[in-house]
This record gives sequence, structure tokens and C-alpha cells, in this order.
Amino acid sequence: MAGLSRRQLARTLESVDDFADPSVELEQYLTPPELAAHLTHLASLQGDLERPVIDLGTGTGMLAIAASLASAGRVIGIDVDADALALARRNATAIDIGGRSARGIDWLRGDVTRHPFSIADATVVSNPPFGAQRGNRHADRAFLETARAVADVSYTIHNEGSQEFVESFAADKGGDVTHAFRASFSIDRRFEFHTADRETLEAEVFRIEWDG
Amino acid sequence: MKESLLEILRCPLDKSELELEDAEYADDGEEVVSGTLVCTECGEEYPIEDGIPNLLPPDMREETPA
Repeated sequence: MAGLSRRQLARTLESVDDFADPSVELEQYLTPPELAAHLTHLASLQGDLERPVIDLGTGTGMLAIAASLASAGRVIGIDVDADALALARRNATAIDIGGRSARGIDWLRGDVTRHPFSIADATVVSNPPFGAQRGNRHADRAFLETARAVADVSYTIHNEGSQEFVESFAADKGGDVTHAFRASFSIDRRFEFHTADRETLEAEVFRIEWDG
Repeated sequence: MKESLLEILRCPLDKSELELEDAEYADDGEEVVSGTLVCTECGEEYPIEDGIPNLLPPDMREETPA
């Protein structure tokens, strides 16, 4: 079997647990299973899962687990937060669908902006902090910098209205946005500054090919 | 972590190679569950805790205790 269908993948990913005590500063929230399935399905079709996959700021492990289930060979999840990594590993261990598991993922504690990698041809998947918090604007820029350094191809999730920023960043750094799609999803109220019980977020996902 | 991960891991400070010391392996013999990664250039030590290497730059370790 080449892989799970996108729908099977999304359904399987619904068992990935959310943060019990999310950090506002790190903008921790669960990447929606549907979005993770969409992103990794596209990556699979593009042949991007044949390269080592690195999930920058893996959090709950959602994208790393999705890539692993979508038949990626080597998958690495890095996060600055030890609690997130413990959760991510628990989430990966809990999944077993028809003998397919996400246990082969390597988890790594580190700072994405001062990364410990020596690789130039990875596929990066990342749902970085949006930099929506004051004083943290364009935190996603730092993640893109690292993606450019380690990846041939990256898939990154940004907040609404990021297209111009992402495209000009890529163009400046020898990258090319080849795919862009939008996804809207709702998340439960979790931080003090959220005013409604459920917030609808509009996200934009970009596939970027980076020059060597 | 799997030992083969070392091929693409470097010291976050100077990007030099890391050497695995005092490694203990899981029963399958593949997973390194504890040990220390030592930078071959600056000598900085990075612990592997419960199978997860901590490659935070040393100045970030106190700010974010495990």
C-alpha cells in the first residue's frame, strides 16, 4: 500500500492530543488534523517525503506524525519545549493503524533559530509561531530562515495575509513559492486574549523550493 | 534517538561534529536512550535525556528547565 488516503490520514490524526497547558509565548496550539493531512498529502504527491523530513517547532508532533504516516522515511521533530516533546512522543507512540506507526520519528530538543543541523536537502514542514503576539512579530521569518538553510523544499503554515511577505522573503533568498493554499479552522478559546469561545483562524500554506 | 541521526547533527554553537559518549541503548540496540553528545571542537556537552538529545545552546538551558 502506497499510503493512507488523505481522509484516512486526517481521521487517524484526530487521536493526536492537544497541549494540556499551552504556552502563550510559544503560541502553542494543535495543528488541525485536516490541515496536516492536506499538507503531507501534497508533500507525498510531490515526492518530497523521500527526503529527510524535519518538523520545525513540532509542538504536539502533528506534522511529524502526519509525514511519518504518509510514508516519509526519516522524520525528525524539533522543539524548544521539553513538555511538548514528551507529548509529541506520546502521541506518536499511541498511533498504530494497520501496522503503520509513527514510532520511528526522532525527537530533538533545540532552538529552531540556532539549529543543530548539518543538512541542506531536507524537506521542512512547520507550523511556526505566527508572531501574532506583541514583540514577536514575524517570528515565522526566523523559521523560514532555518528552512532555507536546511531544506530543498519547505511547507510552512502562516496566518492570513502572509502571502506578500512569504513571496518576497522567498524571492530575496533564492526561493520560489510553487504552491499556496488557504485553510480556515476553528480552535477552542485558550488564551486570555481570545475573546470568543471559539476563534476561527485563517491559515495560508506555502510550498517553497529553495535554491541550493 | 537513533545513532544514525548523528550524521546530520552538529553543535548549535559552532556547527562542528558531535561525538557520542557514555551511550546506553534500548533493548532493540538501535535507540540511544541516554548518553552525552560532545562537540569535537569546543567540547560543549549536550545530554541525551530519556532518548531525546538536548541541543539547546547552553545559554538557553536555564531559561527553559526541563
